[in-house]
Amino acid sequence: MSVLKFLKNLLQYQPPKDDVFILEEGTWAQEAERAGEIPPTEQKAAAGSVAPRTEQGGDTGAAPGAYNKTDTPEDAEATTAPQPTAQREKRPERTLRKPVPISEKLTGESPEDRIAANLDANRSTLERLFHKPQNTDLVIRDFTLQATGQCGLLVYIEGIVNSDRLSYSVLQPLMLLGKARDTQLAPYVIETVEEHLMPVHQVAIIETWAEVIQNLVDGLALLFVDGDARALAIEARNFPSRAIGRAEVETVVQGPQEAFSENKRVNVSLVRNYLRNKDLITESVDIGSGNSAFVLYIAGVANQKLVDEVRRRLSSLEGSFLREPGHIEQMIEDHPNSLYPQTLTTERPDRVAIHLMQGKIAVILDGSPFALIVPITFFTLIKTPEDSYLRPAFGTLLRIVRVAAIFVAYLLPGIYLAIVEHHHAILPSDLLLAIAGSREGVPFPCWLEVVMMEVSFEVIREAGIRVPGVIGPTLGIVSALVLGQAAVAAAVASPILIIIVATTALAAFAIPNYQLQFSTRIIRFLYIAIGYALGLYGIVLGLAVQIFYTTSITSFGVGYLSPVAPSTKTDLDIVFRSPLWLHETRPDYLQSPDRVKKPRISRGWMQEDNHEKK
Amino acid sequence: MRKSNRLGAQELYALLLITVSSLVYFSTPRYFFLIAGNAAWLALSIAISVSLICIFIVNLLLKRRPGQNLISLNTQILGTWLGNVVNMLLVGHYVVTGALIIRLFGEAIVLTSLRSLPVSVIMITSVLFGLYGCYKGWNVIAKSCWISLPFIALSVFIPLVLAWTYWEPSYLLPFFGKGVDDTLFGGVFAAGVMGDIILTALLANAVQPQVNLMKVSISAMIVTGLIFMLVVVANSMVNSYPVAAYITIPYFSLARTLSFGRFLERLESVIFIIWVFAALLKIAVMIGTGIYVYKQIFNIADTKPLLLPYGAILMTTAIMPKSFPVVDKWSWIYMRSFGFVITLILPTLIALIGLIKLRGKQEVKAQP
Amino acid sequence: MKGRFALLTLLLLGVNLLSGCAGIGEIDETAFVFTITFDKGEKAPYQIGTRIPVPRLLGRIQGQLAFSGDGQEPYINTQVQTHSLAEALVMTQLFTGREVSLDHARTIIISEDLARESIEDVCQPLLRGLEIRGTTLLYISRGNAFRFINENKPLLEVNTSKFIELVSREQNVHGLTTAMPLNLFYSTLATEGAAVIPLAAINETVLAAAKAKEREPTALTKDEQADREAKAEMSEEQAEETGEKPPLRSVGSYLPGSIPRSGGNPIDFIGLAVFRNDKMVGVLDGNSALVYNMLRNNFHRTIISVKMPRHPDETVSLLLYKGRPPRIRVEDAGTRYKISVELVIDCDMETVSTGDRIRSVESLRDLETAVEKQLQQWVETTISMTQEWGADIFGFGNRLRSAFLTWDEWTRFNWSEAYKHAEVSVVITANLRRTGLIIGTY
Repeated sequence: MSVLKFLKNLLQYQPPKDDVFILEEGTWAQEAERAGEIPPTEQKAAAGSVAPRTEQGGDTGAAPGAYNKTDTPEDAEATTAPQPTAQREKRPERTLRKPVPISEKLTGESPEDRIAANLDANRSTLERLFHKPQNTDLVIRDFTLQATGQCGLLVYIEGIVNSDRLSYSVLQPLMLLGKARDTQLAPYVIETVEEHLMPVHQVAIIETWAEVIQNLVDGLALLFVDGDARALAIEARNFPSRAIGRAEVETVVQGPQEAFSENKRVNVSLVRNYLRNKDLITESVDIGSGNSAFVLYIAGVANQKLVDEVRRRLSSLEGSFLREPGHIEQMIEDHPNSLYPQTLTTERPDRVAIHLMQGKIAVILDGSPFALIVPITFFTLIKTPEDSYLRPAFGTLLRIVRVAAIFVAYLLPGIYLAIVEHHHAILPSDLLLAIAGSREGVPFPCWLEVVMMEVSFEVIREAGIRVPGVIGPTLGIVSALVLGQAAVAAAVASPILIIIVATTALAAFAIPNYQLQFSTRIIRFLYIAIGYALGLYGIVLGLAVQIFYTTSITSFGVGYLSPVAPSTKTDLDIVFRSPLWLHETRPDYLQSPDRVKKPRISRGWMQEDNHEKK
Repeated sequence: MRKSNRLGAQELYALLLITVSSLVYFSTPRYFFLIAGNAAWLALSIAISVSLICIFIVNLLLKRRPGQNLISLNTQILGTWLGNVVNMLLVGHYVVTGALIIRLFGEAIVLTSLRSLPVSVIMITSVLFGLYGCYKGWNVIAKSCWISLPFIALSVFIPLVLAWTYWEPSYLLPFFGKGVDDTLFGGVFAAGVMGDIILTALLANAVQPQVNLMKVSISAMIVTGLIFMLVVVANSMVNSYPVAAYITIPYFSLARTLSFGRFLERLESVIFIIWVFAALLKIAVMIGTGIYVYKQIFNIADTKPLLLPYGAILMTTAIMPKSFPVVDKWSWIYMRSFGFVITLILPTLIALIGLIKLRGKQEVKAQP
Repeated sequence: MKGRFALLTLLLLGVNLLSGCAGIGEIDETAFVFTITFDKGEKAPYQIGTRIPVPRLLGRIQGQLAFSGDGQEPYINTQVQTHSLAEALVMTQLFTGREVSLDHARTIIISEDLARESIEDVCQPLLRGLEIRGTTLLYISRGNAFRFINENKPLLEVNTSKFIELVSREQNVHGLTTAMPLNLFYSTLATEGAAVIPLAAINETVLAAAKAKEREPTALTKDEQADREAKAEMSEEQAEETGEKPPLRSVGSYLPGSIPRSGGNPIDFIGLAVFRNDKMVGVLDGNSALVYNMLRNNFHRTIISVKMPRHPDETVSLLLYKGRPPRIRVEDAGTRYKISVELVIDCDMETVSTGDRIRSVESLRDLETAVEKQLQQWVETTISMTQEWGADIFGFGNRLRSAFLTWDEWTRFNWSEAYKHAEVSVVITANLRRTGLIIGTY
């Protein structure tokens, strides 16, 4: 008995804490069950570790202590047994002292971080902070306040403010209006200005230099008045921006054509255009270095746990230049090393609106015409907005084509190589002769030929993207001629292989998601290698590993193949699409508090019709 | 293993179905011809009914003790020592069958398509794959099973049904094949082929609490039985008895006989792909089960350090037999003797004892 | 730890995969055999011939470039003397320079004299090997099999593999032969003790005419001379076998090699070779092959000619097609077994020579009777021939399986002996359904 116990203790070491955020999955019935009796997580623990340990009781001290000290306090609490004596106190974590940038340094409580009442002192501080003689962008405009006769400073950064607004809405009233020399107002001058003399829609009173810096670089103008240790931030932003353009990346034939631009305010308003909903929340989350992101969701539709998690991940970010969704994506993904994209990047406001309505969350950043949508599943990536704008049969057809394209893009060269190298029997005799005949005289082994053609195709694709627009078509012709015609004529490649490579490339382009395209391009080479080495068996092995991997990863706690595996209740909108009026519920995997999207009968006229007949 | 997710009914169903029915792709159907001659289907139906009865009794016990699995029940019913001996027998069983399956799989691949490859390459890659599956956990294996279920079902039915042009129903007669005794008793012992259905009882505590285990396992068993039946019946109608008993991999050769016009001829490659996939899933499940039982006996929290040693043990066991006929013979002898006893008879007996012991007692509430 | 594990896995995989590449045979480094022939050898048990396509020539014909026309035959035919197929492959490899693969073997042709000795030793090794598929088609060549593939020059196809597939499918149109894949033949032979393989032969008259046309010195080798003489004898024998020569000779009454024709590919596919317990015991002509197909429920359609009932010097050609599956009963009638066959055949009129006046429905009934008589005679002669050989190629014996409970009882019962003495009754019903676009003749 003691031998068993010894072995038990020997092998009983605590695994590293699995700190994975999981949005619970399950069917509605399970959800009800959970609400009743079962705690949502930690069910798995019942399998082995917790229950038997209670039998073990206080004997733990006799066992080799080395394996027990890693017990975490939570676990100790979970057991009803007396706590092991060898338990150590948890050490306080050592904090690392990191150099802090000056803007943060200034937010401290010391008096010199606050704005001074003396205008000259403020001026010299500003000039020091903004490297005034060298940096010509900072403009400091002196003027005298008509209302009180005090001196004032209007400070802004040239080029990112609206100078008309400053002249007519700020300087004009300040310099011209008000009873002259009304000295009684002097202590409350900032409030007076804010309430009476500033016909600008957004102003704010600030007190610290950190805020001053932040507001100035954000494009606001600041008003300092002599004798007051505060400043007034005036909204006058005018960053150059593009007009709303047509969608370039995610084009559709039928459906809205507009796309996001680089201004996050404009982008949010584009989304609001689709969702006239009081519950649509635009939450600003600081993502470090003075940047902030808008997190969009619909309250009561998005799961609060999910919203909290997105906020938590975003607000914890620190980095010098996190302006692109691409950057943010890499920083907040569940599996950053994965080849699958786990967020959806889209430039279409209608798409964002559709996903928000399902209970997903969008992140919009300044300076990028793309929005991030989380969480997503694999099947999100094979959809386009157009699918739902078309009749279900058309949408289904498009998706079946895409699914086929995904398989072709991943597997075709690998399968070709596997068959040509290992499984000659599979080909029909005519095709076999055609392949063998076309291979005659090609000086390279088959695998080298495939790799060569694939690589050269990658080169063409890269060149095609980087080449200036004017010579783009020329490049296409040249590469088609060189690789297609000449390579065959010179017996460097066999014509059948050219067909294979071209079909594969076309299939990759048929995948609607740009990032998924990338994954096919990389994984394809793995399939080529394993197909060459192990034939069709290798291909299947690779496929099985890929399926295992795909089922195991998550996007913000949602299983990647979600509506299928784990199979949850959902409307039929995965590959096959049911008619629009049957889409009544939100996907189960999103755990939305408001499951029902619309009433059972959404085509009221059908019902009226029936009534009339009766 | 992920902490929050347990297996749902569909995933468990797919897991059971693929685990048990993928034996159909190996030389297993042949054994029924060896037992009963052309009445293989009769022996098979007896085997199916025996395993159905066993799994029914085991499920009765599981129903009485929700949230517990066979391993913990063994120790509760038989006492810690005896119970753990039985559990170790299960581990041993899974080492042996896992090794046999891996070897059979490797040999089958070499036989059917990759003659130039050393068998160890296929074995090592398949073991590594199985270990990868175990590393990812039951959930992933079960989900993958669920995804691949439609394809696998298609691959089972297509070749068998498409071969109907060659069907000669009179080959199923004479009714009792090699004789009544041979057919009946051989059939009972051949139930060991279906022994993997005991996985329901082993995974009972990894399943969501509202899943009706009885329903899932019985329906999985019935569908598996139908698949086996289809393969055996089709085989005896197409290849007929004396030939069918000596075809190494009946399913594959059946798929190879298909020919529809000049284009739909080489269908076996498509079927081969899905066949390999199902077999790989089965290997992952076999490895996973062995480790799972072992883990629970010794109450190990994290199985990851066990994976490589376990894989090495399997690999060495699998590489030991000299040749394919030896493996084939041993797998048959093992399945109908030890396999039969360990996976069906012992659990059924323990379940019976447990049911008697438990009679009158209050139902035990599930442990969290 | 994680990294080390990954590294170890990668290492294992890498070593494995590299060793996997070792035995690879590239598609352009392999010679694919399309046809295999078996003949009796002199220095060894067998002479095994192979027909290997030259992909350089054939592949390009189908590709964009035309046949380069340097005069090389698109096929290499080789023959070696050895005792097994595997040895033959190695021997072929010795002078081909490429790995020889049987993956694409479509046809196996066995010479008649070899088949009359034993076919078991040829068939079983074929089934054991992975490369040969069960769907490979079997043919028995009257005369030398290797010579047969040498002279087989299909005119419409470049790919002989496709040619033989098309030939095997044609039996759906004429029913005068059948297609016998290897696995079906083997399992039938093993289960029922009797089976058939379609017959083929060189048509010497056509060949001679073609050779003469080429204006080559028609110096026949000794082999060819002997072969030709044997051929001539054989056809005479055959004429005697089938009994009195009917004045109207239908297509099906010929054996391969004796069809009166000229021009085209000098080979014929018609008739069946009958096997009993691994030995060839006899040949059946086209009509008997038709009967075989009908009784095996493998008959689709054919054309036969019958004499006009009231004008014996004129003939009508009729299109026959399947009416209903055959109904066959085998009963134990005390001392002997009784086989009763019922066939229902539908027919359409194809061509009618002038003279007879087919105007009434009654006259059509006469035609039906003529068809029935004709068929009845064919069925009866065919069955009685197989009874003489003791080869139940129609699977009558399967009907008796239900009378036995166990396999031992069944194997102890010697059906092929009982079959010899069985009593046969045949009932044929012909229904004339259509008369074509002209409903009658003047």
